[in-house]
Amino acid sequence: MEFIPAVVTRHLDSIHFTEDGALLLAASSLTNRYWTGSLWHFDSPDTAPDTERCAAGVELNCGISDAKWINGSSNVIAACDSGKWISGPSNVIVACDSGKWISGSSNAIAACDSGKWISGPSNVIVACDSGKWISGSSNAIAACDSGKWISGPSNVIVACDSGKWINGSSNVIAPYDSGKWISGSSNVIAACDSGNLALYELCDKGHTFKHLSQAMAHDDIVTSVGVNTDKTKATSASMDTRIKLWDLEEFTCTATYQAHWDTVWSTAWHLSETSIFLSASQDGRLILWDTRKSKPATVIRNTSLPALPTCVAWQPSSKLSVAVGTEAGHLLLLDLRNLAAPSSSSIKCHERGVHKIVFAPESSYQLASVSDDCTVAVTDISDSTPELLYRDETNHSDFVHGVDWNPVDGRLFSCGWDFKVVGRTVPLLGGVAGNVTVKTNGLAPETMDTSTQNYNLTCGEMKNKTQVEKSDQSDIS
Amino acid sequence: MASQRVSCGRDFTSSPDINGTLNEAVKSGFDFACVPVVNPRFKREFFNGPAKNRRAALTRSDMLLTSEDWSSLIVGKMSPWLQLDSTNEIIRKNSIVAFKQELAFASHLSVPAILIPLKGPNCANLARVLNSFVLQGHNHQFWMRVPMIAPEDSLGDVFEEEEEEGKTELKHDTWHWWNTLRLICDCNKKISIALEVTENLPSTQAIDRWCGEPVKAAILPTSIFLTNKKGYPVLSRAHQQLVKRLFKLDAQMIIVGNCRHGDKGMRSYQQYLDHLWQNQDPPDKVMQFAKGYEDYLQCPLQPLMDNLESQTYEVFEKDPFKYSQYQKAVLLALQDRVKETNSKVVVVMVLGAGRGPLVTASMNAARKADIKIRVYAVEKNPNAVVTLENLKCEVWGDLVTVVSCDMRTWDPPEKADIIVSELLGSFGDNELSPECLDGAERFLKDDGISIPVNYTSFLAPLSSPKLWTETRNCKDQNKPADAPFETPYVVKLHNMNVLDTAQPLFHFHHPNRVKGEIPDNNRYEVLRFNVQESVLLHGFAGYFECVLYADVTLSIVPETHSPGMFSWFPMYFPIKEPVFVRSGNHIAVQFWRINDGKKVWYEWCISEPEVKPIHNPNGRAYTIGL
Repeated sequence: MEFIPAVVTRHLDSIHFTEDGALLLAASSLTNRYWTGSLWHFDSPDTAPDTERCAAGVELNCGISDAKWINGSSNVIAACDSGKWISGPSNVIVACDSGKWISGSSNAIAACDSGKWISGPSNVIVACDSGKWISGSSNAIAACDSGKWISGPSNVIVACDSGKWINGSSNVIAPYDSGKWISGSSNVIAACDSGNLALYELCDKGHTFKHLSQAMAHDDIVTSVGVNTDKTKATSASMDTRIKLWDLEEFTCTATYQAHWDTVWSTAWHLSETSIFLSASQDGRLILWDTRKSKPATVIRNTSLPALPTCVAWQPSSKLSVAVGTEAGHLLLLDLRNLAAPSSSSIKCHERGVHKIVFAPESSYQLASVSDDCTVAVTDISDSTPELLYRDETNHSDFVHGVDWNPVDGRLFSCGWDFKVVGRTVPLLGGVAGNVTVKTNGLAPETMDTSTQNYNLTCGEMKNKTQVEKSDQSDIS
Repeated sequence: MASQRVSCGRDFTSSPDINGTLNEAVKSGFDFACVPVVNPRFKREFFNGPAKNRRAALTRSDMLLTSEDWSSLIVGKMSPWLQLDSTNEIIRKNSIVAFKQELAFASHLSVPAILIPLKGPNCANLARVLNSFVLQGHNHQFWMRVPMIAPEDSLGDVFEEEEEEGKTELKHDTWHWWNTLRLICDCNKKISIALEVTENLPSTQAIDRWCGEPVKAAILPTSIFLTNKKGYPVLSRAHQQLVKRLFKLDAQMIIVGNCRHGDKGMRSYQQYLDHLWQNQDPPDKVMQFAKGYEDYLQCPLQPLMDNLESQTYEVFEKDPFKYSQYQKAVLLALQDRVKETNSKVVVVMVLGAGRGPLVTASMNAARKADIKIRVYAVEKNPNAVVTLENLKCEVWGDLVTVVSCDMRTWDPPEKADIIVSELLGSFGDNELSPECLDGAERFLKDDGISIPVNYTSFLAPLSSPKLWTETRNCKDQNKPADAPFETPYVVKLHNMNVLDTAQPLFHFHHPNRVKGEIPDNNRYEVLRFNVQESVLLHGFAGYFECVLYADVTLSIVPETHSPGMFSWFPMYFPIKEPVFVRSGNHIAVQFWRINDGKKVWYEWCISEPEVKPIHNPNGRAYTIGL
């Protein structure tokens, strides 16, 4: 570990997990002499927020409201030659040395060490461990397990099963045959109180934050930052009432939107559409944005919000439903299919403002929320009758501002101004605390082993959604 | 109150290290820094939940700066998340306690000014809490940060749907937000405006209206600056005009926002404003003379009842324009007189000669016209007569006869061809020139000339919270509570907004001989004015115009003001309570001049948009003694 910031910044405002369970923590010091901030990377969330045990940390000369991972770039690869595969985001590559191949999404890559190769669609990658390589189309990748590597054009991936990994260009991921996988460069974008947007790269195998760039984004505090689903665009929202759109490749601002007349609290990108996001503001309005249009903003009217909105999150399964949290503690689900009268049902889960809401991964209904009433709640937010599933009133002694689900073990983590990061397994539907079961389509369910970081899944169709069900006592291993 | 350079500060939204922030501001040439008192994200809970037991300092220690720095270099900003007028009761209550906390701490620091954001028309609760605090006697200015145009009306063109109404119409009038707050706070002098200048400016009338308000600071976002060819920040013409007007109100400038002219640094903004300041038009003679007297209420002189002092005469004798006009008028009158009557010697009587400047003017005119005159200098002030006698002895000789007598009771040896007088007050007849000249008419030949030939008073409605509050402070223990509002004042009107063009009110001409009638100097008139933007009416400005002779005039009506003539400041007729006039409505004022044989006074009242009580009935607060 290279550096630990000296000033203890106690107000934890944001947590964000990577795909493999690494934690990004944003902290600020909102009182006392210095009003600074810091970013932390923890390999394991259970070690947070103990700064002695972090993997990397960096100090900023301003507070940080929000920070997000930009996991590698769109060309993500995870490969493992233990025969199992791990999915990444949409543009996925799957490699397997059992001789079978599994295609990811459209830009698929198939690799096989039987010497045969099967091409996917246009952006093809071929890997072969005979030492020879065959190029596919323009974005080619060559892999070879003789220990040597040959680079293709810019978006290059290199695989090697000698146990070492070698970076290609910046957007690179290298697989590793110890059964673990390490993502290549991971970038972090942070929303600063000075009005700037800071971009950091986590390098040295996750042990150093390297400051890449700083953009003078806003004239006032940046309240939140959002990254779209293919990691090409980001939005920053600020107390100066503006929203800025950023291109993540160049880290430049491509547009500034003045559509709100008061602080914009948060923006949320759509989970599959790369150009659509929603903004929530202190002026009471929710605005749907489509960055492809010349007039991108559509005000969502007749929402009958019981109070001013503070946060939004898209519902995973549906394309057009969003959950909204308000400054008075309500949660509601809006169906945007009918923009003239989006139906909504609300529930008041909290006594104070909701700071952040996050849906459980792949779940349409479980919405985690954190609030200034110092509690964490999970609500079953469905159209008809929202129902409180879980509530934690005891673990936090001050405002809870950060929340995220750990994709590895499904635990719900929260962080707050009491300098605590709390992870918990959420018992659902009022049942006994137990493990979370993941069931895939048509195949035998397997349980998640929450004791280790890795988890095993049988292969299945990428497009199928998994359903979360209550586990039986017998499934606890 | 004149300063040699503009006072310019910098507004910081985040201040990680206050010493660093202050150093940065000073290095960039700023005179002060606007810094949050408490971290803007540090929300606090006071009523329920574990957070109310949070053990943490409210904010950074006051020991970080010396008290001298706090009280001269820092403007404290209140938190942006406070919503004292939220419809949600819990949010409102938390905001109230938090606001009081921050105000109390700012007061503890003794910062000279506190910046409070004003975000909408619903500000009654904010006003109440603020008023309660201000009345406790803290020694700060409270600057309400108000934008010139509401952010709701400054949205970008990003909406797919068309808005219902036309985009050119402003739907939200931020002046009303301010008006509501200050009325609820009973127009407290300590609460003033930090006006945020927006990229688009409102109408001229709206700007005029702002310039009539107590604007103590102007906030200029860096986003409204343009870039000149060399890459330096500059303002558009319209913005420059506005900033220059604000300079005249002694407003302090504040720059806010990121540096949008990277390599030039924040200093370039301050330098530009200083450049604008240095390049203001130099003040004209009237402004030079009036420096320091802006909005300073003075009781009108009563030269008839009282005797003026030597110093007063000296000041007025310095007027560059007035006496040259009198000289011109006398010249023309002499020429006309000789033409008509073929007299060898014209008898000129200067009534109210003072220390003799009109005598000198008349004699100069006669010399120029090559006409013989015989002058009588009549003056009732025995002290000024001393000056006259000395002048006669040393300069004038036998040409002038000094008469130490009131013109109304003097029994002259002959009648005059021309009588010259300057018995005018700021409202024309308010020093009782009509009564005096009527009393002198008997010794003016039947076809004789009076200089001035006639004079007219003018009235214009005005809005000026400053003047009204100054009036309120003029309490006199010996007089009833309302008395300050029932007397007019002579004042150099400055921080005010005249709402409509001045209209003529009372007219007098001389000589005033109507066959068979007793001259009546009582007057009654009704004037109606139009108002374009909604305003608060605080009273009326009084002026006069005067025809000396032929086309030679004197005027202090703004539209026709004599150049460089500083002898008369306008009058201000207050009203007891400000009256709200909606845009498009009329103001109607009823005005009387009443003479009861012993004294003369004015009475006035408003009849539109509301009917209000008469001011100064029976001259109970103000009269002019005969």
